[in-house]
Amino acid sequence: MMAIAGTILFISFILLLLVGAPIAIAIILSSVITFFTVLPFDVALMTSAQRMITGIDNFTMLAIPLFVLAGIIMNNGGIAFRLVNFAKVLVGKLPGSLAHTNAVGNMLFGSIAGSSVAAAAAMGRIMGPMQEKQGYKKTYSAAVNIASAPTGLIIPPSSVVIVYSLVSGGTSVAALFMAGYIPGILWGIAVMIVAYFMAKKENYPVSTLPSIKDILYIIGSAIPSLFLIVIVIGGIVAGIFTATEGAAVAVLYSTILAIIYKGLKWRDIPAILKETIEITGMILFLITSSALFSLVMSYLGLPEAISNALLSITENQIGILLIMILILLLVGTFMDITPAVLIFTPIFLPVAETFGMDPVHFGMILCFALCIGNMTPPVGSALFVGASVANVRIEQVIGTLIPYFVAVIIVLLLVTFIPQLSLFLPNLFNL
Amino acid sequence: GCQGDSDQTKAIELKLAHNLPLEHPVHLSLAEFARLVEEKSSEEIKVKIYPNAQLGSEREVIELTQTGAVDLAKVSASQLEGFESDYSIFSLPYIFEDYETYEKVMNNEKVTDKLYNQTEDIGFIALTYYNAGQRHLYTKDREVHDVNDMRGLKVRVQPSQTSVQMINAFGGIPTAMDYGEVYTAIQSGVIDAAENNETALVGNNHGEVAKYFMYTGHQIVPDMFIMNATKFNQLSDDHQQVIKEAAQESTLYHEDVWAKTIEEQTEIAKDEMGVNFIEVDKTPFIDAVQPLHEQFAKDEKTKEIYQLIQEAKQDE
Amino acid sequence: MNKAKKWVDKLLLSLSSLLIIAMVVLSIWQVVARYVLSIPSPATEEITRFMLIWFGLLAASYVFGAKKHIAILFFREKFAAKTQISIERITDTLVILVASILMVYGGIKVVMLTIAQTAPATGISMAFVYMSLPLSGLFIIFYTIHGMLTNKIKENQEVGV
Ligand code: NA
Ligand code: NA
Repeated sequence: MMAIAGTILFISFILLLLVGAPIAIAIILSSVITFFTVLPFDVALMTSAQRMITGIDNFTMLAIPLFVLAGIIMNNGGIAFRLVNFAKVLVGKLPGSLAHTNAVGNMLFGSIAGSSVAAAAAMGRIMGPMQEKQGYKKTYSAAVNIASAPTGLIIPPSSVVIVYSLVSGGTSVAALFMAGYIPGILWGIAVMIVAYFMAKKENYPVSTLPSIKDILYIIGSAIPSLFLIVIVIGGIVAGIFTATEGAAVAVLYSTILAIIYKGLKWRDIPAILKETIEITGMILFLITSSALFSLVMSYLGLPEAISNALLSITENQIGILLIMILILLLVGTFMDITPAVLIFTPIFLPVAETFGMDPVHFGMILCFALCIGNMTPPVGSALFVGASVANVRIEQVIGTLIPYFVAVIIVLLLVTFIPQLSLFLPNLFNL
Repeated sequence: GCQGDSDQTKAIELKLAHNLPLEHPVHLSLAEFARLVEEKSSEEIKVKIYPNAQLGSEREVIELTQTGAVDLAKVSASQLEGFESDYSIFSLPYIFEDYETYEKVMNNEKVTDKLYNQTEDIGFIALTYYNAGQRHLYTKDREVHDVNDMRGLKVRVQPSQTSVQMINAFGGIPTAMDYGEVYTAIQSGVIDAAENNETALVGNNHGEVAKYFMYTGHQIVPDMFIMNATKFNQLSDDHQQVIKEAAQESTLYHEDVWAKTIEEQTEIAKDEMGVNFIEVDKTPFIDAVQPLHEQFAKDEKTKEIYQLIQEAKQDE
Repeated sequence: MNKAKKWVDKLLLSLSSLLIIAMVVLSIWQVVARYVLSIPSPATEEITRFMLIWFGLLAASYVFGAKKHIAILFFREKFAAKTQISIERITDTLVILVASILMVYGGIKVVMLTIAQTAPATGISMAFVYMSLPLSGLFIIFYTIHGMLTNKIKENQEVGV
């Protein structure tokens, strides 16, 4: 019976995805249909309806819309531009320097905003025209932007990581945030290494550094933006406030900064709120529908069954990790990160825990693997936005993306098999 | 293992949900309940346990039990407050002066008849209770011997008005925060104290940051074992009897398991974490919360159960 | 119909905007309350959580109107335009089914069940919280029917976070 119900769950889900139903609707409908096979009609409906409410009844969850709002305010408030100038000073002497500036800009912007879409859009808009002027190929610039945009999902703050924290049964958000720094920065460095060799091959120019006086000015004007990281992440890590409160502080701080920079005016506010509502309405609906999907899976005992099946293939820890990574990479190619984290954490985390893996480390592997899907077809947020702001078609840029894809997968393997890359910082801060 | 047991399709399967890990004493007692039910019913009833909050938080699981998606659940009496105001009596500090009084009341039929069946019209009944310990105060670095020592102490409270009023009555400063944040909050000094039973020291590692544990015993809140009412009423008289007996026997079984757990954890906290355990005179604490007692004795929603408990204390 | 949509858009945007601003203020208030004023606020947290539920569902309904819920259109776009419209109609019908049977019908049943149930810190009836589901279900039905009548192919985004 359970096996039949489980089959119904997955087949109806995939069919609904294929016909182009909104992903959240596909998740809800397949869950409810499955519930009908094991519960009376009204009980199935009431149970599902309840879970759609309780699925977002969580104070930590509020951090997600608030970080999105903070990111959008920064995007409107002239902060992105100051970060780009700062990045230029850092990496301006490398071949293909503007590409490196783009990558570092994505890491910096992502480290305060936490959305690959926002980062890819902001950086692509600023960097694209500059690179074109210096004779960079459009596909080259677009690929660097797309490949480095998802770093903001790993480098804190990150809504993906908050979702993992919730679904994994309360793994510390502070620990997960600290865990993200090294893997996220390594991702960025991997992208820069590939960009370096490609730029050398194409003989792209090295930028001239601005004068010392200008450098000091650039650093000075980036400091208030960078200080946000210290306040928000520092406050969360030190236990001064919770992730949610930290996100609210980020909103307040970025608003003040945007007003000082004169980038933010009263009349901009409705548009900022509208953008926030559109993004978070979509994410929260996905989250709550995935909560329902997870309930159906637990009810059928599927996570346990899948774990047992995995463990029956091989008892070898490396083997199981590789299988899980492969599945996550595949899922990430076509599925959005949030529902994927919600659906796969309860399935894979217990397996990882059977061989004593730290949930913080495993969370990093899971989020990292799924975030790679952000830059791949058929569905990839960074890919779509990055290609669209660069005015290239997706098919054109895919070829250029392949070496980046390989480089990032190598980083994923390092993160998987060297736990210290994730755990060193959380341990250092006693989290 | 979903196929191939066709000879057992006649067996009734009951789904039991709780939010604790497999090694927790409550899980052991629930597993004992399951074993007893299967044995006593000659395998006519089977119990499938969903541990670890697999089906959701306690609040969600109560709702699942109301609708019948879940048949049985273990939930804290404090979670039931929102569903039936009688259960809020357990939040009232020192409604039981000590553990003996608590046991006496919880085994008084007049009390349990009212409490256990009260919720039938909202979809569930209670079968029995499980001992979930006494709540005590623990601090980072301050000894508390008397209620006066609590003046100005920032104490994390559970999200309920009664708990806030209790800490106020003691002279402390109640602070609301999620239970998961208590460790860091004590460590960084955001709060000075929290309150819970002994298992918080080891189970949640609070003993690493809180070094004084005062036996204030201000609240004794049981876990309740609830069942979907329709499901229970559909069972034959024999099967109902089986469920009731198994529930009561598992409560007795749990007494032992729980006592042993507390003893072990206290030892670990003392020896490995260096926590100091301090006996306190409860009288000034009890005096401090008398206004709260008057409030509960007067309130329409709680006066009946309050009176019933006071009478049960006098019963022989 | 278009006028009605504009009106609903405005309503949902205003309500969601008010809610998110209130949640920012309350979250900051919580920090201030803890450090500066030493006032406990279990009620603040509970109210904020309930606001998040209302915000999430109202915003999600708005997104149905704005057609910004992510979907995988990669496969659908392989078909001829006519077939695409038929598929589009099928998915619209599915959305209406989910919204009416689960969100409205199931939601109302849950509201009835939870009328007497109260939240621990504020004592608010949980029915008030659960009301958000049938209500947002109605908005989603409205938007979807509006979309079907205006007869344009839906351009769901394929973009997430
Ligand atoms: Na980030
Ligand atoms: Na992808």
